[in-house]
Amino acid sequence: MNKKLFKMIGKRIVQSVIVLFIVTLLVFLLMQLVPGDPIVNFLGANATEEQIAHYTEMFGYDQPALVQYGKWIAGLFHGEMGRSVALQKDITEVIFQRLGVTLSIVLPAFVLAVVFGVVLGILAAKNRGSRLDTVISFFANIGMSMPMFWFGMLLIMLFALKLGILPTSGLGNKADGMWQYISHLILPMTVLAMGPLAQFTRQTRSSMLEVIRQDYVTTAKAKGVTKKALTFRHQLRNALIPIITVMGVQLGGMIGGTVLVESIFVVPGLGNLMITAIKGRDFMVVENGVLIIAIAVAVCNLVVDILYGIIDPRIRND
Amino acid sequence: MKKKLLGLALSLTLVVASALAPATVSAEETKEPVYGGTVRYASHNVTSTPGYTPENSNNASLIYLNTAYESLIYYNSSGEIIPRLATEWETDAEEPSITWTLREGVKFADGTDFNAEAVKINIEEYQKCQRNETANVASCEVVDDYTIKMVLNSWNSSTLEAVGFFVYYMSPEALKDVDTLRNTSCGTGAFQVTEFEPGVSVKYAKNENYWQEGKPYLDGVEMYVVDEPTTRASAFEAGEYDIILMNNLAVANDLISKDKYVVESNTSGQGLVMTGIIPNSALEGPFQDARVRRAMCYAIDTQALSDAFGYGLLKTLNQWAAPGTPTFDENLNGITYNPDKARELLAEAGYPDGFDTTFTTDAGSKDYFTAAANMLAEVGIRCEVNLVDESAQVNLYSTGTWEGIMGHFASVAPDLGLYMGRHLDVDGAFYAKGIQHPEDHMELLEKIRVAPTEEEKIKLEYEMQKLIYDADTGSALFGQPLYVQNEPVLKYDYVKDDNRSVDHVATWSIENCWLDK
Repeated sequence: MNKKLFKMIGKRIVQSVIVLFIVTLLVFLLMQLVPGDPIVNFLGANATEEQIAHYTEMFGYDQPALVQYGKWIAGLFHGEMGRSVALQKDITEVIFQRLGVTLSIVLPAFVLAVVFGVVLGILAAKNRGSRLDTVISFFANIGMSMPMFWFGMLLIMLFALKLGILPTSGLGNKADGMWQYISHLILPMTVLAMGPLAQFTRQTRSSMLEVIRQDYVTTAKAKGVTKKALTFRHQLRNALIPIITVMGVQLGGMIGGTVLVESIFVVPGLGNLMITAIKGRDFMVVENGVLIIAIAVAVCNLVVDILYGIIDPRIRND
Repeated sequence: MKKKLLGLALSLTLVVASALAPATVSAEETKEPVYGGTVRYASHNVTSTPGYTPENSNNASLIYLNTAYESLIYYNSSGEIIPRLATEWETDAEEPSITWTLREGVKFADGTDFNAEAVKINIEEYQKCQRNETANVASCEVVDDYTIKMVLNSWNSSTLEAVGFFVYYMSPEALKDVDTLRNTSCGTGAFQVTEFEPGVSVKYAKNENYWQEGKPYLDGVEMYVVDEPTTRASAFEAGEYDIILMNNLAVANDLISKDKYVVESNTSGQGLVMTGIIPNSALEGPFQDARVRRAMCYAIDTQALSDAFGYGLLKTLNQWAAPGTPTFDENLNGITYNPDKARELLAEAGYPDGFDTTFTTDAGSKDYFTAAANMLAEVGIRCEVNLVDESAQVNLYSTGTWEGIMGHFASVAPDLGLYMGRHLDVDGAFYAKGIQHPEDHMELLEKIRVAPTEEEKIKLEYEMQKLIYDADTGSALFGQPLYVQNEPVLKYDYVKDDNRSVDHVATWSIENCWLDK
C-alpha cells in the first residue's frame, strides 16, 4: 500500500516539475512582451542614454532573451534568483523575507477559515432547514460575495477609526510586544479568511448533506454508534474529499491572492512586492515571485493528492 | 432672574475670551521649539536607496535624500535660490565655469569634513552614474579647502541649478563601500538612516554632527510608503502618521473638508508638474497640421474639467509655466475654450467632418481625460480612449510612439528652459520623438541654453511660450496645458515648521521641525 502511495507522490512531483518549468517559460516570455523597461522605470525618464546603457549592461538586460532565461534558470539551481533593479538587492533575500510575512497572514487565515468553515458547515448540515442553517447559509453567501477591498475598508473604519482598538495598517514589530505584532495581523487575516471561510462552510454543508443520506450512515445509526463518532468518523471523513479539494485550491489561491489584502493593509508581503515589481517592470522580481507562487500552488496540490490517497484507499489503488 | 444672570455671565465670559484670544495666538506664535519626539510621515513615494544619492533621479525620492543629505543651494518659498552647503557662487559665461565657496565647519555624519575635495569626489561619482545634471561639468578644480571651480564643457544656463540643487553630497569615506551606503546614509543632513526596508519604510535618527547649532529638534523621523490613498488617509485619521502627502484629490478633499488638519501646499511652483494633452505631430496624420493642434486646444474647456474633477485643488493653465513661477507670462494670449473656433480651424485644415483618433491615458487620470475626449468629440475629434498603466505610458512617451493624443506631464519649475528642452530636443527623453522640431523653436531653445543671465533667460522663455501657446500663431506642439496639481500635505497642528512641500514640492526643512504635543 505504501509503495503505491510513494509511486503516486513521485508521479505527482515529476508532473509538478514539468508544470513549474512551463510556468518559468511562460512568465519569462510574457514579461518580454510587456511594454516598459525596468531600467527606465528605475532611473526615471530623464535619464541619459549613457546612464540607461550603463545600468542595462550592469543588470544583463542587454543580452539576448534566451541567454537571460538560461542565466535565470541556471541561477535557480544554485539558489540565486538574481538582483532586483528597483530594490538594488538580492532577490532571494527579499522574496523569502516577504514570503515569511505573507505566510504569517495566510496560514492563520487558512486555519481560521478551515476550523470555522468546517464547524459551521457541519452545524448547518446537521440542522438543515432550521433557523441556524438559514443564518449560517446567509452569512456564507455574504462572505462569498463581499468584495475584499470594501470589507477591508469597513473593518478599518470600525475597528481602527471608530473603536480605535486595532491599527489600520502596517506590520507590527515583535520587539514592541506580542500584542503589537498580533494586532497588526488581525484585520488582514480576517479579510483574507472571509472568502475561503464562506466557501468551506458551503462545501462542508453540501458534502455532509450528501453523506447524511447514505445507507451506511443509517446502518451506523442502527448499530448504535454515538452521535460524535457518527459525525466525525462516518459522515465527515466520507465528506472530506471535495472539502479537501476546495481547501487545496483556496490555500494556493490565498498565497497568490494576498495582493489585494497586502495592498489595503500595507503589509510588506509577497503580494505587495509583486505589485510594486509589476508597476516598475522589475522583471526578475516578477518572474521569481510568480515561480514561488506556482511552487506554493504545486505543493498544495501535491498535499491534496496525498491526502486523497490517505483518506480514500480507492484513489491510491487507481 | 437666574436665567438673566446666567446669560450675563456667559456674555461676560465670551467678551473676556474674545479679548484674550489675540493674546493666545501671539503666545502660540512666539513659542520656542521643544526638543524630542519622532515625526511619522507617509506618502506613496518610494526610494530604491536612501543612501546612495546618484541613484535617486526622480523628484519623488528627493524627500528621502532631503532628510539625510544636503545640496549646495536650496530654494526659498518665493522660488529664489538660497545658499545651503555653498555660501556663495560665481558664474562665468565667457570662460564657462562656476566657482563655489563652500560653508566651513560642516561635517558628514561619520565625522569626515565637507570640503572642496568631497565635492569633487561626489561630482565624479554622479558622472560615473551618468547623471545628466553633471554631464556638462568637464572638470573640478580644487582652488582651496573651501573653494571649488567647476569648468564646464560649454556655457549652459541650467547647469548652476542642476549641479547646485540635484547633487546630494555623500561622505567620501562612505563612498568607498557603495553597497553598504545604499541601505544606510552618510550625509551632512539633520538625520541619518537607521533602518531601511525597501518599499516599506525608512527610519532616521538625529545626526549628532549636524552643522546648524541646536538643530535638529526631533529625535527621529519615520517615513512610510503607503500606496493606497484611502488606507493612508485612514491611518492618518487614526493618528498613526503625523504628516501625509495625498495624491488622490477625492481623498484629499474629504480630509480637508473635515477642517481638522493643517493643509500645506507649495507656494513657489518649484517642482510642480503640469498636466496637459499632447498630440503626436511626428506620425503621419491630422496632427501634423498646427491648425488641427490648435483646434484640439480650443475644444477643451479646462475650467469646466478642473471644476468637475479638481475639488478646488487644480489650477488651470494656458501655458507651460504655472502662476507664481518667474516664467509665467500673465499677458500671454493663450487659447481659451471656443468650440466654434475649433470647428472652423478643422474645416480650414481639411477636416470639416472631423476625424477618428486615439486618446491614451493611464487609469489614474481616466475620468478627467475621458471627459476631455468627450469635449473633443463635440467638435469632431472622435477619440477611442486607450487605458495603459504607468510603465506602458513611460514607454510610449519616451519612444514617441503613441497614436493620436496622450496625457502630457511636465515639470514647470525651477528651470522651464531645461524641462522644455527635454520635450523639444530631437533626442529629448520626454515625448520629443513624437513631436515636430521646427527650426525657429530649436534656435530659440539654444538661445535659452546659452543665456548669460537669469533675466535674459526668462525673457527668452517668455518668447518660447508665445511661439508655442499663442492662440493665433502658436505651434501648439505640446497641445493644451490643462492644470497644475499641487498635491496637498496634511498634518496635525502639533507638527511645526516642517515646511513640507512649501519651498519645493519634494523637500522639507526637517531640521527646523518640532512637535508641540
